[in-house]
Amino acid sequence: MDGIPPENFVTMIEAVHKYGRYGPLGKNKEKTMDKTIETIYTGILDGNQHLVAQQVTEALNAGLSPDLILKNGLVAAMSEVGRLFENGEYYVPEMLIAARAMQAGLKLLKPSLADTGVKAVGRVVIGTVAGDLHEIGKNLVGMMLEGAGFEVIDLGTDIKPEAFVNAVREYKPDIMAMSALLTTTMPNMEATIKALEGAGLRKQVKVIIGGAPITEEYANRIGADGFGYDASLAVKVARSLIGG
Amino acid sequence: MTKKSPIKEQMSARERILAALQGKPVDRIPFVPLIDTYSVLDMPAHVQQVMQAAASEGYWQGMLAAIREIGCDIMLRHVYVTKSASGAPHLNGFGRFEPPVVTSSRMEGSLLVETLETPIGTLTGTWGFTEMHGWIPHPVKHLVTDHEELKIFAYAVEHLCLEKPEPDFENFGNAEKAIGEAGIATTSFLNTPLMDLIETCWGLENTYFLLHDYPDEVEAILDRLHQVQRLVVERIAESPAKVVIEYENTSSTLLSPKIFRRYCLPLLNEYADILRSADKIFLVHMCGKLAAFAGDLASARFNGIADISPHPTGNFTLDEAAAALPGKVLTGGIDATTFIESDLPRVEAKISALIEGIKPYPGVLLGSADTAPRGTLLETFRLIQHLVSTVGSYLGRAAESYRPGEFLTSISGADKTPQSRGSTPVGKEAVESVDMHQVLQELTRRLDGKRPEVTGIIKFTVTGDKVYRLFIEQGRCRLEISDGPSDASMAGNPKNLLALFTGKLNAMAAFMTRKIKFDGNLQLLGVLAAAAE
Repeated sequence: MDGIPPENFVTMIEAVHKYGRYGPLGKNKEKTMDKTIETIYTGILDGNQHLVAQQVTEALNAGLSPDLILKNGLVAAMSEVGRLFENGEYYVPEMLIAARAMQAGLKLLKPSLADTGVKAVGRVVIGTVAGDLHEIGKNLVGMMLEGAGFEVIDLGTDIKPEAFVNAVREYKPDIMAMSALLTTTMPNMEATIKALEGAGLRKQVKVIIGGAPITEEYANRIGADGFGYDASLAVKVARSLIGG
Repeated sequence: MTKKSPIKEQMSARERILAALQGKPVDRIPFVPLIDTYSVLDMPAHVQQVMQAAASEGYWQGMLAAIREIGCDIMLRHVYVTKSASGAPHLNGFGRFEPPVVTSSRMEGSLLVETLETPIGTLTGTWGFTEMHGWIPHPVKHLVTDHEELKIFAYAVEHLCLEKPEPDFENFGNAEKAIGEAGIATTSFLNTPLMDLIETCWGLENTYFLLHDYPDEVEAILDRLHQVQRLVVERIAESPAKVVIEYENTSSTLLSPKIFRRYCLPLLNEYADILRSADKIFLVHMCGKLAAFAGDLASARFNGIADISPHPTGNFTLDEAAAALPGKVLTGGIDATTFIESDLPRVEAKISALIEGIKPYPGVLLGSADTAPRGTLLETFRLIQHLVSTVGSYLGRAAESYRPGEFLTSISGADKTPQSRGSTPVGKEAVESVDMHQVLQELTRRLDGKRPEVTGIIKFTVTGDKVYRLFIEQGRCRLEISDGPSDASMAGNPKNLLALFTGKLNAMAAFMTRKIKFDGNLQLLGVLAAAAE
């Protein structure tokens, strides 16, 4: 404090009054920030990918914290999408369009998230099991998990047990998610779980499964940790498995 | 008190099914599972042999043989009343494209590649097969994925032929004659344009993204596709088919009630008006989650819904659907997971309860929720057939004769385990002594000069023999014993190849049962048929 001219203190105090959080211009700035987040939020719900991308860019340029944009904008919006889906107000088309808008924003946000050291809430490896080429359900679950703040590594379709095992070994995910749409490919879910056991990796990862013929009873029978009835509930199960 | 019409004892399956489809009294609940080649892939050898032998005549012939062997009431699917266009199987579903639009297809290993060529660009879609999918291809790369491709597709659909397809009523008549009193044949047509795009050439994501971003352009395409579809329906209305099934595959996992109401229901009602005014029974195959659509379905103008799915694939049990959709004919009700259940006493209890639940409702036919799955035991089909004949009987004596567990005890000792999945349990086929060189030389001689518009190389890889190549240069043919590049190829053992060339083995049946592997330009392979002319 010694040696600092008194007039500098005056300037500092005036600046705080003018530009600080509770000052006239600071309040406007906060309002502007809230408005931007709100626009991102509603943009996602409306499926307006261009608006979301534009607003995320503006938010970053305005100095908003990437973590704030992610949590209060993207994740909050996708959580609302999930709620609307469970309530029967949104269906798959609305969910897809919203998820696309979210991904448009997330793509722009990712570098900043990395720079500021913001970590994903968890890491998920997802794939459709061996012999099965269906991907819609897997894609939707992947999008919703991303929207919930997870890092998602999509292995694709027709993934053999050993490929799942290798992915767990390489990426060390918190969760491994498997999808199957045929009664003939369902057994590969159990085969994959057994392959994880054989590789000594079973305890390192939580396993959730889903798909048209899959039931909770089946998931319990084969030793999965969770069952996702639909994309929205899959996110809830994933969160609960990592203690979120 | 109104006088009840007497129920004829021991109705024929045909009488029973037709009565049920009209909501009239029946002697017992019919059992009409949807069976196709996928369903029988793990069946005992004798079922497969019977199917394969009959399939050399054609697809429905093979299915009829399989269903007879299985022993349920026959509601044969997909007996066409029109001739299909040649070219690419999925693109053909839209109709016949006229010049300058050209469609083609080829096999590249285990991938089916379909191409749509126009003066403003070319679209390519790729379909994959896996052992578990059976012969059912699944899109791995969609034909249309962005706005530029949408514009090319729009150009192509503007060049769809606006004429009714050529009829083939004789095919249907033959099927009905072959089935006789054991059941009925039904004819089919594809789903509404939006659902077709979702399920085939565009995929779910691309369809909804493009519909959201370019609604006017997408709707113009849908309108055009509907114009063509309507002509198909008008032709079907002229046919001898009494029962028509459209394969819509509605499910809330694919679309919302709002989208269904806007893009699908009005068209289904329009088709219903055409078909019902021609005295057809019009069913719509809806094998997904339907609860969200109940209100719309109740007021829809089609006669009923085929292949209803309960949990877990669907969310409507058959009795729930019957209660929610009064007056609608319904088939289905048994989920794939129940069919593949190996605990047969548990299956018996489940199906008995289901039958008791649907008995109060007229117009309900027990069946599979979508295709009966691969891996279903023959005994499961026979158990269900027994249950509909006893528990499902409306005639006191038959119903009273039911004893839980008795049927299973009577068949105990029969092989209840499915054959190992993924293998054709017919056993190794003996490679008979066939001189393939001589066969191919004869083929070459017969083909020589017949098709001057054709140039290409066809390779034949003969198991236990050599590799041959047929060189066709503007219709002139030359055979070589050599390996090397080719435009199309087929591989198989001598017996199967000979059967194919002599018409004893149908090409589609050969492909489905993996007797012969095809690769490359499929139209070029089709030229070989000229050798038989």
